[in-house]
Amino acid sequence: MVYEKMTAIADAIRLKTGGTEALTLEDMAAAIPEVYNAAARECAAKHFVAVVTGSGTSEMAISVPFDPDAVFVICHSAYAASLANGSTGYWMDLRFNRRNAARYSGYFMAVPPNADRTNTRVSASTALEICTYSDGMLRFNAVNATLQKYVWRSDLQYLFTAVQYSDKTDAELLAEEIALLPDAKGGTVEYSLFRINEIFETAEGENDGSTSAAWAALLATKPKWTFTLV
Amino acid sequence: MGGTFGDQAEMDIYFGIGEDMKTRMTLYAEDGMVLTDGNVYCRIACLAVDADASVWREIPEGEAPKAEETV
Repeated sequence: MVYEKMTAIADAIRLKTGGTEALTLEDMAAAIPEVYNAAARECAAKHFVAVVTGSGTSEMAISVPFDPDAVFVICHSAYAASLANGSTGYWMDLRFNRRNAARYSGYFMAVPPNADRTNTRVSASTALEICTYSDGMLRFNAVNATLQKYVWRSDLQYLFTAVQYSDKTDAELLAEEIALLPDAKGGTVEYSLFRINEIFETAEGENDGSTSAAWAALLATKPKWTFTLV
Repeated sequence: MGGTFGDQAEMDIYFGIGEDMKTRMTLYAEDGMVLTDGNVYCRIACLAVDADASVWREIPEGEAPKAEETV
């Protein structure tokens, strides 16, 4: 009984620290710090949080050690204070799911000085342009559909959170989502043509995902549903 | 114009075996146009089996709401 419990503890340690060698009680005690370190590394590889002062322009760039699936930005300065603080820029919040195939991938909400708030829903393709990742940098270009620029106020601080929430492919995630549509009751579901083309792109050509066999096979699982590509 | 979308109108036969054979009509908007059923605006509409295609029509792209909406 004790042996089994000790083996379970050793297995849990090896799960984090790697290796297959037998561990003595002393080895287990010595391995505990590495268990914490391994967990911390695992967390840091998929989760990121930072508080950053606004750039004073519509663009921001932040060093993030992974390409995030989803990004959330909150201006955590006092809402009232930001509105009362003159007319030099905007307070804003953003939320993007960069793995999303739905028509809308998120939104950003901005408060122009001395005006009502503006809440802009962002299409999946546009979100990928507003929030891009390359060379270890997460870059934001806060521009809306009419190309109006929103400034990251330099007198405000923004809480950035980024996460990799799944190791599955976009196609696998989408298949799981579509599987949840009820078979008995039909309806209409909207997806982004840009993202469907991207997710199911074949070797034969560019932007052909929406005519691919893989996409057609997925649709065939839900005959009562209309799928629109926007 | 319901159900007719120029030369690019297509009907795709989707998969099935025996009694499960189903057909699904796929409508494609021509360049500069979008499809609408009055509620949804899109480039491609993969209609549900047995759906009424006549409620869909093409309109100029400029008459459709923007992909991004400020609300």
